[in-house]
Amino acid sequence: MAPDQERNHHQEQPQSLDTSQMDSATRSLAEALRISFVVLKFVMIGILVAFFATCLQTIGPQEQGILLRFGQVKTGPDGQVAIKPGLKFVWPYPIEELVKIPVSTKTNLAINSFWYFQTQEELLADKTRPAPRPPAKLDPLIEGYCLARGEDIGNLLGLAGRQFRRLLLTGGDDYSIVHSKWQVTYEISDIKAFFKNIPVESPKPGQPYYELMKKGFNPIMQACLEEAVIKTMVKYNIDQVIVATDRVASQVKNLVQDRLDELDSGVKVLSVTLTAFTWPRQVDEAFNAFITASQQARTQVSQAQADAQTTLNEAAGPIAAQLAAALEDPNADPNYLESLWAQVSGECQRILAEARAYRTSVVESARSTADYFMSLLPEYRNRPMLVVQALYLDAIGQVLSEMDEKFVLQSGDHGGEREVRILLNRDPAIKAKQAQGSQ
Amino acid sequence: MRHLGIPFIVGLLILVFLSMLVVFQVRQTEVAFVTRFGRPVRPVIEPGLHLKWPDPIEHVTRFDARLRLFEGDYAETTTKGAVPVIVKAYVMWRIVDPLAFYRAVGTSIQAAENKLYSQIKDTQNRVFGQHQFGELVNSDPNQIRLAAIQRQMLEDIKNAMEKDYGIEIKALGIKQMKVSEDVTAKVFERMKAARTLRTRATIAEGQAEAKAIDSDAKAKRDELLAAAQARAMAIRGQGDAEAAKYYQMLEQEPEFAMFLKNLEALKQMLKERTTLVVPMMVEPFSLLMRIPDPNQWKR
Repeated sequence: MAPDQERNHHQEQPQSLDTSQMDSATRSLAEALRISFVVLKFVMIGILVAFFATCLQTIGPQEQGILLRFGQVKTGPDGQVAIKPGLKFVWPYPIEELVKIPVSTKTNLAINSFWYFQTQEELLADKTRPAPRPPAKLDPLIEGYCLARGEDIGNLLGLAGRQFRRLLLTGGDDYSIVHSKWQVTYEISDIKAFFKNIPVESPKPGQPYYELMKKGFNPIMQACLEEAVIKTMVKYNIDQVIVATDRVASQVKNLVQDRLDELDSGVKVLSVTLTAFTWPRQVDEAFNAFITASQQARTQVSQAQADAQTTLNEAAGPIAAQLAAALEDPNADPNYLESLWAQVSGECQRILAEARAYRTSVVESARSTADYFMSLLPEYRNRPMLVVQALYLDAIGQVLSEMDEKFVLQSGDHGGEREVRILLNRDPAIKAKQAQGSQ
Repeated sequence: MRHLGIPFIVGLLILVFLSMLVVFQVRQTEVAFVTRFGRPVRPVIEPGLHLKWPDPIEHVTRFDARLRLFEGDYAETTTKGAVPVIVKAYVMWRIVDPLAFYRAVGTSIQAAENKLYSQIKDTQNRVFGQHQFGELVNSDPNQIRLAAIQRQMLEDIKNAMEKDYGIEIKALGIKQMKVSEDVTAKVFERMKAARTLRTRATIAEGQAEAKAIDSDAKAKRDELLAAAQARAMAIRGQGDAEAAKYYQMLEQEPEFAMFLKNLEALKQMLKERTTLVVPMMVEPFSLLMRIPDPNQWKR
């Protein structure tokens, strides 16, 4: 035993002796104090454990964290501010503070401030019910709408009557009124910028940051989107918006993103959608008439296209259009043209077939005539008179035998001329043929 | 050592307590200023720990330095051509100089927003009054100056407020732009007239297009048929040319050849449904007149 320890041991001996010599009351008090110290020790240990337990905080999978040390954003050793999901030791406030921000959560925000006013009954009403008669004017404080580019009708004024022309030229500035509904989807992309610039209340215990984030940021997003819609819609007329909905939405998205970047908001716009778009109910009749006219015009054009196709098909078959184009092209390849003629059908094909038949017929006829001639020629040269007369009589005999009616007239008195008048009924077949031809 | 624990803890607690009196914290999202006996003495812009004399000698007042959204009311203003337009603008602003802000409006954000409200209206009237309505919305997009008007409004409001109020106007935008109630009725009339005109034009265009398609098809058909006829004529010509080679053979006895052709033609022409009136002197009907005398025949 070391001399110091031995000395201490000797010093403790008299104290234990003193305790044993205390009276019972003092002993009880000493015992109570000893127990109290033990309890206090356990309580302090418990407090310490609880204290350190509160220093352990979890960042969820959809979140990232920002650590504030004495109120200042703490940058990690890698220069990054964002703390990834997992368990994190954080000294208690006011030394450190961990702010958890939901970065991977996509938030949707519907903007209906450009839509006309509808009562709750109208919103809930069955759509099959007739819509109530809209007001003749729009109260700017109640009805939502935005101004859009006017219709480009400069080249149509010639179609307008005097009254229309006066109205169009003097009836106000060149713009329209339109209603629209929008939806934007966004997420936080830069948590330091978002934390530093966007006013989000500090969550109370148990209060989700996401709800506070929406409460703080959605009004800003709405203002930015409304501004972008106002700026975009003045550049498009109604028909352009209907045709190019995606392009309009894309332009709005770009403007919103530009504004949010300018604010250094740390928010990325994922999509902007034009969910509903319409002209004012007050002009429904004119617009519906236009739709009907457009459909009729399209039908008319489609019918004309079908008729045209039939006409061309009847003329030359399926390759008619190609053949017509090739015929109009002075530089068309002759081989290509020949291949098209080979595929031709319809009326053209009939004409060509007849021509080919004629060619065959005329050649064969000439050939047979020549053969017939050559076969008779030697005999003719020997006995011309006999051959001619024989052929003549054969022919007359054949012709007369096939005739329906034959009138052989005797000469006049003393071999002179005789005048004969024959009344013949018109051939019914010829009459029918003539009647058919005149139709 | 064992007996030094409690004094150490007590000393530490006293130190923490004293430090809380002289040290204060400014968050990254805040700006602050220190007042000494109620008189502002210095701004605190940087986040972190800062020293001060304990209360009541020095006191710290903090402001949220993050962006604030302020929206004005719908306000009717008049453009250069005296056309009324109803506009609602918003402003994104933040406190950047807490001391200047305090001196201007105290600690009341509401007071600052009241000033912004009146300033926005003032700026709106001034700037819109310099521009035609056609610069807000126009069928010619090149004439629209909405973005430039917003920039002009922003500059105007910045000049009026930033320096004196210790704030930064980060952005200004027009979030609603409407026309008065009576004007909407006129716009509807115009829209109806324009659409009716479009309807007429569409009907006319449809008819014209259909006619054009029809005419084009007929023209193409005629062209195709003409080309086919030309081609057919060439084919017939080829046939005739080929046949002519055989006709050369007939030149040996042309009269006899023509006689044969005439006979053939006669057979073809008088084949069907023919009524023939012929004098008796024509052969062979002459046989009907008399019995032939073989002595007269050439031998």
